[in-house]
Amino acid sequence: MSNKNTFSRRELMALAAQSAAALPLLGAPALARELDEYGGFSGNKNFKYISAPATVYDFGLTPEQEEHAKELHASLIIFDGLSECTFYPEFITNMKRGGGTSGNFSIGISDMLRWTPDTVFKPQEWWSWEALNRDLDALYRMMHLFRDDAMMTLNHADILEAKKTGKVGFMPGTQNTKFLDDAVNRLDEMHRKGLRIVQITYNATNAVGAGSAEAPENRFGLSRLGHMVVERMNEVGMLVDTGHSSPETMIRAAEVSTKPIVISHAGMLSKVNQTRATTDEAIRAVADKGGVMGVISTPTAIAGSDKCTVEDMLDNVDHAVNIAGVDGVGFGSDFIIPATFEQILSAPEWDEEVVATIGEFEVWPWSDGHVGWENNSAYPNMTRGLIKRGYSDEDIAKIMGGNFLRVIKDTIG
Amino acid sequence: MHWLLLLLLSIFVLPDTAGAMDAIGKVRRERPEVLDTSATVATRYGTLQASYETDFLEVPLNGVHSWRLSLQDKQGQPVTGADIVLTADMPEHLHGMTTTPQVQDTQTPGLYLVRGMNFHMPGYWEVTLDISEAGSRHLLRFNLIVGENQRGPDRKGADES
Repeated sequence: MSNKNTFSRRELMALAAQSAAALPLLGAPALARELDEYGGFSGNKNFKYISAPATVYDFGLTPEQEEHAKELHASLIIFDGLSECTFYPEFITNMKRGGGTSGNFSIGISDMLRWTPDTVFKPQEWWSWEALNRDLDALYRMMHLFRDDAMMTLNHADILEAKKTGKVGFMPGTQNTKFLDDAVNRLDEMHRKGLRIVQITYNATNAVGAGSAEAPENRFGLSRLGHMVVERMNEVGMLVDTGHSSPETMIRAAEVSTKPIVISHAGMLSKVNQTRATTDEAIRAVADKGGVMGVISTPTAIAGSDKCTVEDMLDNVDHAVNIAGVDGVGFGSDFIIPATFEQILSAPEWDEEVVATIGEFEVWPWSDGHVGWENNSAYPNMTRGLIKRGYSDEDIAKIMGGNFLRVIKDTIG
Repeated sequence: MHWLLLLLLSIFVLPDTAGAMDAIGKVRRERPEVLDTSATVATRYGTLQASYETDFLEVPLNGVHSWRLSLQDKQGQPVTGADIVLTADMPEHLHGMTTTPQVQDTQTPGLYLVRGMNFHMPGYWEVTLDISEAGSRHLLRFNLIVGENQRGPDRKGADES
């Protein structure tokens, strides 16, 4: 296979979805689907790490250190800069296992409850006004359904409440400004509906700013519309996220914003040179403004390999702390359905012919390639690893969520 | 075949759509200046140790062969019944093997047989072991420089197991 035919899992899912959509036209049988009790297809039970606990990584801690880690972790407010992009009940279980308090729960990739190929992966619909409204409605339904274990966390106080009650917090966020359709006042309406974190670009450049995949010579900071978007987000109380943006857009957004901004989930070019990594300069610009850089967990982004361990993630945290200072670093897992591509391909929902075709392509394995960070239940490994590396309890509290919490208080309220 | 055509159409006719999505792939990595090519590796804190042996003085270039893989725990005891997924890649070239090696248990405690190893190109290879055992999981990696002192593809000395 040639290298130019290397696609991400999301790309392949989308391509397969397009192919699946053409099935009836070719006279092939339509794929059978049954809605689950939540009104959608909420997670594929064949995916091992949708429910299997994450690996308890061996850091060689002493029994005393392990006991200290346990106590410390239980006391922390843990905020994941990007906790998940789809809803499935096991996500709540995993968050509880991991002691997760809340996270940026990303919505808008069509319909988070209907993620099977013939229903969900239509990227042309991603982050549209309709998609965001549909996902927000679904998320409120899920919060009601799982009200004993989960809650919306729409501000700083809600996150503290989630910690107090032991519920899993969902802070709705999205990864593009496509839903605005150039109408900045849509931010007001989305804020009223509960959207709190808005990433101003995805990989591709949009009307607001330049994405991380933009050619260096074409990168600009913010458009005039981008200025208006950042200013309006400051006013209504939304957190400006530049996770997928180009370094230039991160820097300009930090300059324009009157409040701290975040890079919710990204890698660092000075660590691993790849598309979703940013420059030290951009990280410093965000941190100097009081913001936070969330270290991503995907293996290629932090280790340049499709397999890594939580030690690699800790290496990246160390690196980020050296760039931004300990007040400017958090983590953003960027989980999207904890599964390998192989597991997806072996799931019964997928047509065998689609699987056979997609199987020819090399793809980016997802969270199960990351030993010790397979899903949201892995958070204690970060606390334990930071203890092993000599971080103080105070600094661990900042990295595990305290820094994001501070920025949320300063921006959202 | 129509699936392949559909997929290719999707890729090339709808580039804007594909461009809107996350496109992180494997990352090309240069060979480190200092490379540990030891045939024995261990996890950072020594929880698990792995060693390999072949029937040859050097790991063969472009020849299907087998590895004998030994696993030991921190106390030096053999690790039996492990679930091992072995992958091999050339980080400088962004590709793996042309074969899919199979790992199987043997009668000897802690010894596993890996069939179907084939380093088909000379250069820097990484062999990664994703090992699950007794509710735990580890990642171990062997670095190899294969065939750089050999003149070219040579199947002599390699078995066909």
